[in-house]
Amino acid sequence: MTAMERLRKNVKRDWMLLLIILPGVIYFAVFCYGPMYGILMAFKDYNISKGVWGSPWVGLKHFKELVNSVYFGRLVKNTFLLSIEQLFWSFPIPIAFALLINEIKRKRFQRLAQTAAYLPHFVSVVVVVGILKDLLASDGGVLTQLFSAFGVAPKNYFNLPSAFRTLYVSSGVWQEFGWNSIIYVAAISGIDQQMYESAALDGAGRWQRLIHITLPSIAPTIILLLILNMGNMLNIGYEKVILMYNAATYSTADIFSTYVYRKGLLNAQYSFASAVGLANSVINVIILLTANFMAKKTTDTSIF
Amino acid sequence: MQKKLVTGLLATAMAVSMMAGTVLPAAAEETEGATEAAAEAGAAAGEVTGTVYDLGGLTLPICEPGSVSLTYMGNDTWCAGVSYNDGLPVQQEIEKRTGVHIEWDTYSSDVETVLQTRMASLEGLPDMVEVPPFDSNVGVDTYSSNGVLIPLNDLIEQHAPNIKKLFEKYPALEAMCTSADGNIYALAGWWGDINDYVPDYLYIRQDWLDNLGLEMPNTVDELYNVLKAFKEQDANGNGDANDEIPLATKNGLKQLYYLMTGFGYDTNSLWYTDADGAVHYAAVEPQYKDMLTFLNKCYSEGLISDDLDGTLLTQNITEDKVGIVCHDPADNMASSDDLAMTSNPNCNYQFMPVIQADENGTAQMTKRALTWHYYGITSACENPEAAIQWIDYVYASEDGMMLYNYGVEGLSYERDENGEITFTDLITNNETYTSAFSALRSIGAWPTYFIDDSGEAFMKIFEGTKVETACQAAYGNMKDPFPEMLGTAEESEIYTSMWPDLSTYLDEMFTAFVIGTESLDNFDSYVETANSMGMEEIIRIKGDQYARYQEITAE
Repeated sequence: MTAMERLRKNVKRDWMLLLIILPGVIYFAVFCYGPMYGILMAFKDYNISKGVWGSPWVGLKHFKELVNSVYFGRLVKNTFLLSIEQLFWSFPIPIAFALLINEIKRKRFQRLAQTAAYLPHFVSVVVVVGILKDLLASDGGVLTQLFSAFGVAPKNYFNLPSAFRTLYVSSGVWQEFGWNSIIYVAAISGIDQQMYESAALDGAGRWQRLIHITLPSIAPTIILLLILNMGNMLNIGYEKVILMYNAATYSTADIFSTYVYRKGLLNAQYSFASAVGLANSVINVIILLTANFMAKKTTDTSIF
Repeated sequence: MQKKLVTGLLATAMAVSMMAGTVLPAAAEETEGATEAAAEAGAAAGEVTGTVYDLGGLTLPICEPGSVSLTYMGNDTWCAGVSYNDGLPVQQEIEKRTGVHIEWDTYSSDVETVLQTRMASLEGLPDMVEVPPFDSNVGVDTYSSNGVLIPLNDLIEQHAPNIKKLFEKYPALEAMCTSADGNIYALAGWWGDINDYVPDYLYIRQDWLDNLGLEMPNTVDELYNVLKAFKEQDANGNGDANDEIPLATKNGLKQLYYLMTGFGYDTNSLWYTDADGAVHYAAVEPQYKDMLTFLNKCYSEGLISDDLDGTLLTQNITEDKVGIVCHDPADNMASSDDLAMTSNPNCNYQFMPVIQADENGTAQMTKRALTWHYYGITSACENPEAAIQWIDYVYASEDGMMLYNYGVEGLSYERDENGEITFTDLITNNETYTSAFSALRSIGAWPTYFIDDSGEAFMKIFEGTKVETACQAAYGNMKDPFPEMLGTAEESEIYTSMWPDLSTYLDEMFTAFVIGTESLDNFDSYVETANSMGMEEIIRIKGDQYARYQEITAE
């Protein structure tokens, strides 16, 4: 059988699957691969009327400008620390939640708990930050009052550089843990029930079943998502940070994306913004490849 | 496992699309409602088709009605839920009189991003555009140097008699519209007239002063005593002596620089010129330290709101907690009253006099900015003559001004035999819009495009209120603001590369000095750092621009 014939046969057999994947392929081609030539802007002084191709080359000028900025060191530090802290908390909590949900035997309560947990995902981030500010208002905020019952003097946590990351990450975890657990719940529901039954016959308790059956069964999912998450590590959007930071907390809150927003977008410095974006992507790819390599070495699971 | 992974993803996707499904119809309903309301209002407008006007050399209609269609892209109305797309009465009337149909490509949120993308890609350019970015004027240089904005000089000369007259009346406007190469690529939204009337400073709860038997503060010491009294006593009389916030800012702590009038500056503007015409930036001068010391003392004693970016201000005003609001124009005093009255019917905000260093102080407040955003014609416009004539009508002609400021005769106002204008019930007694200002905006008056706001009309809207009193007191007693001129290519390059970092630093240090995370002993090293980040260079650029301004306005 020639390659052509085999291809034709495969297409004929799997045409429905191919059809299903088609929108995804088009999406990536149009929105991810198509605009890639725009990367050139990072090495040029982009001039609108001359277009991407016609604009003059300036080499690494914009990268130098970024590195020479007085804030470069702070931006690197803040972006990394925020990303790491975010991943540290927001990754394991949904897994733990999915395991807990799975242990609930009453189906109605299980569904209720799950729905309640993922509802905050649909709340706009503006509202979430608003709620947070209200809860922590130095006069009369619910949490402030709670803390003062334990003897903590009321203060405005939004003005404390040391509190910024905690606020950012904890509100993010609250908003997303339910939603992010959906995928693990789905993975758990696919585990063969016979394994649990035979383990129970052998005298395994609930805890042992969790450790020896559930966790190993969803381990590939966990590792896949961990790798994917790490590849997105530095892509922290500016929206939430801009809503949360103020001049008193820049020292821990100012990250690459907010800096680009202020300098690139508000001042129409397209080339500079592309340069920062490109640098960000390169670091992301390096992290992704490293994580993938490590996963392959240690667990045999990897995305490629 | 693979299969289950896909299942999970599908479930996710479905949940998302379900949410979208529930949200969309609601949004559609809203727009529908607005359209109907607008159509009703439109039907009530008088029929003026066919009249030929002659306005200072501009003949109307500009073209055979309906033969010319232009697109405009920029901000939508400042009235929530109302869009120019709905065919508002004022815009319909303008179309009737000029014969030019306008396609409104307007957005109420995120318009800047949409515009930037559209302008950067050169795809689907509108004929007329509000030039982004809005916060600075560098866009005029960016988009004119690469040919997106076309020069308007000849067009104005040949087709726009009213704009020429407007320039003669306000040389400052012409100066601010003129790029460094001497051409005009964009017209600035003109606030010079309205801001002769409307002061922007501090307002205070007169009823709190009365409750505590205090006088209106005039000097720094008096201000301090009032703040202290607000803090320590039960100024709002609700039985809780600790819920008062003596001083709060509208948009962030840094706006407290308004109090500089009490510390050796003769006005409240960071950019200012001295008697010799030299340009200064207040925040790096020695007197500034005195103000910071004062603010630091106030903050440490809890006299200044710790809501540093002002997000909770509206809520706090509503809860009857805020004694003084810093940095807000006089007309907002009325809306703050409305807010606070929901919890305290006695609420009475009054505009404050300028805070002086001592009884003999002569500092004056600075008027608000002379301009607001820039508007231009793009290279995609096939009929720039019609466009400039349309702009001439809406932006500069007397007739266009009436529509801008008072709306449509018969619908929003009546004129008696002496020419005296009275607003109709639609404006003064509107069920949806309690403020006359919003009611006028809801029919398309006081627009967001080619702005040219009239102080007289503003006073008419607030006739007989304390806003009018505050405006009358301020009229003629305010200093001209520092002119924001368009930069040369070289100036813009330096400015855009240095100012973002520098202004971040200045904001950060101001906050740190006031809230006490940075010792005021470090003020000198702060000035040094600012200079090393380009402060002196920025001051030099501003100086050059000011010299150009002087030159153009002197002609």
